[in-house]
Amino acid sequence: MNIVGIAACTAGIAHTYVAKEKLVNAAESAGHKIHIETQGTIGIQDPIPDEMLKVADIAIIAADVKVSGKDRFQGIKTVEIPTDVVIKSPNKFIKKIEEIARKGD
Amino acid sequence: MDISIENFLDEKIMGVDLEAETKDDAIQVLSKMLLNEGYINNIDDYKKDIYYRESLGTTGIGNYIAIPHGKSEGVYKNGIAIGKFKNEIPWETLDDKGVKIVCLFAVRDEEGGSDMHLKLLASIAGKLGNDNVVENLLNATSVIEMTNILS
Repeated sequence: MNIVGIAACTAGIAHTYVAKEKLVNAAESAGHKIHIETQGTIGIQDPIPDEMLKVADIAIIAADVKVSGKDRFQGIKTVEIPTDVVIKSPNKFIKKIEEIARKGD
Repeated sequence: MDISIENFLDEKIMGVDLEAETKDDAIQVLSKMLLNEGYINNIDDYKKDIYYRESLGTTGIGNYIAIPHGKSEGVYKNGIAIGKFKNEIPWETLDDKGVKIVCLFAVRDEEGGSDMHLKLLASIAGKLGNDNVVENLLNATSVIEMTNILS
């Protein structure tokens, strides 16, 4: 599965990046391809490449604040979730989005 | 010029076998290190901002790790104090365990100008989300070892 997403937290200093690491590790170990963009206090890092958006099966917004560029996910099934949930149980969350993506078939 | 995580981490604000009974003790111990090494200029101002962030949500990310942080006018220089404590400290955490390693982020309250430091802090935060890194940190017995694990 191809997963794209955005991580963003309240202060934009720490949780954003913890969430990204957890998501990437959990998705990759489940055999998925994933690209997570971070929107923190430094601004946007690792913006989602267009070619990844084109092939995305599902989009994740792991955020506690408003994110920018949501419109890029138009036409892609999108799951919004607080960073805490992703940090707490990343593997469970990836399983859940696998189900959500499957339902769309 | 870019600096590496290894050069950014300061062993003078890191410690192992530290003692604290409570969350506030732990934050105080690490804040004192930050003050002594010139990272912050006022413990009370700094702690007020740390506790403000604490009030917004849990910083205990599970696996015995806590990452209290916040932007503060009390911060003079960006840095991260890392303490490994002798005993498990009660803390609000995502997995309901206590905390053994506290990574206290000191971030200047300003826009821009310190992007490189913020990138380094972000990259360290990311590593703290990695289970292997955390396991190694929990087994580390010296600040040098912790620096190597995070670098």
